[in-house]
Amino acid sequence: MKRKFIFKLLIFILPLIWGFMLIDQHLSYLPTSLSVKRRELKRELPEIKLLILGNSQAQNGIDPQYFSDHAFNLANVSQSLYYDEKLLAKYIEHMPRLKYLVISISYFSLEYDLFMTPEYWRSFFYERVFHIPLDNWRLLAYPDRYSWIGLYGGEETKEIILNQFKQKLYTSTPAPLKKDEKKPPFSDESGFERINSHYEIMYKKRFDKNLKHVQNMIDLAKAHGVQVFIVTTPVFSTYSKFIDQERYHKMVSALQDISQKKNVKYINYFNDAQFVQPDFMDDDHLNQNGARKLTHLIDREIQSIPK
Amino acid sequence: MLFNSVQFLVFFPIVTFLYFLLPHAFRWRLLLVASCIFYMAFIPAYILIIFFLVIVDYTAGIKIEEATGPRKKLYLIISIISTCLVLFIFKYFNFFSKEIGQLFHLPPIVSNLVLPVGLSFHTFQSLSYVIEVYFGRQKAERTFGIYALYVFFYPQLVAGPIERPQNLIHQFYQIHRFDYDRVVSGLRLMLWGMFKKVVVADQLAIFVDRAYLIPGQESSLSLIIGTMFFAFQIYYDFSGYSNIAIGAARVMGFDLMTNFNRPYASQSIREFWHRWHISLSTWFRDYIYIPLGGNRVGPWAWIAVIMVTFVLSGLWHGANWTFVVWGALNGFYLVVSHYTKDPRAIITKKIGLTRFPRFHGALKCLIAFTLISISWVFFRSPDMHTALEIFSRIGHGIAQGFHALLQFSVPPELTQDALKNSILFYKGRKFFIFMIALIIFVEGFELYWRRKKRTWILKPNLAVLRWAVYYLLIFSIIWIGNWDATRQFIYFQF
Repeated sequence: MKRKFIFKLLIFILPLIWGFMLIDQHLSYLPTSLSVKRRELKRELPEIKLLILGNSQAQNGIDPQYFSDHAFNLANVSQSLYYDEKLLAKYIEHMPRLKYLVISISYFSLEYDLFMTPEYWRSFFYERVFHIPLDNWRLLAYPDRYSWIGLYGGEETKEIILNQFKQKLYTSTPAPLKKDEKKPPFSDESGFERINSHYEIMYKKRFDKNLKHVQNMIDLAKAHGVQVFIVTTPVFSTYSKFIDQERYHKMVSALQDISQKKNVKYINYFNDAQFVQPDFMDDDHLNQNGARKLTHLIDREIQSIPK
Repeated sequence: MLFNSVQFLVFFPIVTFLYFLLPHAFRWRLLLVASCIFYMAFIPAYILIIFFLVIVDYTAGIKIEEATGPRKKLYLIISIISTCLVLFIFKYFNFFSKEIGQLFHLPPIVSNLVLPVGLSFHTFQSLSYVIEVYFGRQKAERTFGIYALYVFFYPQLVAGPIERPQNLIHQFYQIHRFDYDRVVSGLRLMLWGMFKKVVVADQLAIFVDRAYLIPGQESSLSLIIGTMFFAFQIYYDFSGYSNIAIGAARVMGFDLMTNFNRPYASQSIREFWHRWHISLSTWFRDYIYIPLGGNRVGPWAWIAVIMVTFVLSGLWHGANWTFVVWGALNGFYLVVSHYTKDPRAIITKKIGLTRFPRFHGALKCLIAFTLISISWVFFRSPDMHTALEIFSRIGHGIAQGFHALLQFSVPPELTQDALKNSILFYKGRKFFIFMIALIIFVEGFELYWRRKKRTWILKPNLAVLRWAVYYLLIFSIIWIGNWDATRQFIYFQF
């Protein structure tokens, strides 16, 4: 009876498993923002002279096309300093022309731990696309890790199936301006909400570990003769007015300290008056106009350094 | 861990497989460990609370059995007080603190403790154990692990059925051999329960949540439909959970008590309470209603006993006046129904309704359903103000409708524009009709299943058709279910 049951059960669930695996396989072929970026990176590796690392503030706020040198923006949404370091370590050997490294560090970067946030699932994408090991062993217990359906989630998977597995994605350059972007949709209320959402992903205990990642990146870059620039991208006043000043100053002093010790340049545009409302797409992200402005400023700093 | 989660999809087959693999002596140990893992998937530290209850009641059971005279009662009282105290601290403290604070104009003392999942269920299950031991109807369990499993048994751990020790404990000692028909029957029940919860209840919730979000801005039609949908949402949600719990236990050879028996087929409120959440209603009957005198007392005392029983039942569901009123209203229904039984029988005979028993029965069902739905307004509303606002809007809408009908015009809420803005077309007309069809299908299927113990579809030569139905159910569960924001079962909050 047991054997009969097991046999029938296997026959019953086989089509379900087959269907599941078929969908999973099709999902694995879908381009993601990371896989598109990896493809572009691999294509441009031999030519890259300037590499940008960081999170969405750098991804949107620094436009590689405006640098004097051939630049590549390897920043990504919610990318933590752990992944910045791992990506640098993985590809630095394959960038023979690399001369400059721009590390973007936001207000929350030094206290940010991707594992502790609702976006922990991004770790699995880094693992699958870039083969970067997980930052936290507890992620091994998450079922999302083991299938693309889990990674995309049920609702997203259904939508993809209904769209016949077609997916549109933006690439390494900042998102294009919206046609009627005259009046930015942000305010004190949205800024306060944004800061609160960042507080939820900031963990003071993570500070030293993240600082170590920064130090490691600087050491690695210097070992390859690469000049490092640490940048804090600008935010709008609706965001900056609600920050915790103590935490902000702790971040700034730590970066100033490290830049002095390691002889690297730290440029802080956080409250820079050059950036006004038309430069922002929301409370803490630049739009294309702002990205062009910031990129020119960073480029000027880079070019001003004697070769 | 929720039943409608990927974790349970992995957990259940592994535990069941190991259960049948292990020799009998190890099986209860496996179930105990598995149940602990199941519970710790919620808030791990809270397992200590259940273990505290387990230790107290396990010890109390033995002490009660060994003691004589007043000591017996003393141990029982200690056990009841400690169990109820835990429930009070986690569930009722803030409510009573706020009410006392308002009464005496004092600032309330607020506790930030989160209610452990299923606390109300396993405290009642623990209480029934010590009470049964006290009355000599159950021998005190001497094996700590077995008693712990009685409280922890994962299929019914977080939302019942609230079992009696006489029904469950002895089953842990029985050898359960693999039985093909029983296992398939259990899996089928689990599938059906999942379908009711994920496909029907969770989709009905879309309408209900919209109707009850800002009821002041909804039409009376939306509120009436929203409330009726809630009646089915809560039934399918809870009975679906019970089906999964009973099915999961059945697979391993355990028989849990039936918790629902098509409650909306009831022709009276009394019958409804024999069919709805049977494990809880029988608990209140046996441990509150009967000890307080039951129907052996005089009329006024009986009314008091009924009201106390139902108010406590309401309070069990939640620390909010809405639940108290819901319970009291049901008690009131029972009292009125009892004292109007004879006049109603006379009236129905006089108007000739008894000559049409089916129509009469259907009318009684409709009246019972309407009365129950009225009480569900309190159950679903977050507070009394919202509940009263809903009734006010419904009353206003009905009055407007009657006024329009008397003037031979279309009631304002039945115009094309009003209907378009109501919850009828919230997700489109087709979806609304689909939900009605689903409710009819589920009710019809359960009626048919009950009437025929073994339906024609279970015949061996119809295996292909059966499997097609299973695949259809599974596909609809996967496709319609929202697996990202997995909706909790309603009764988990109790």
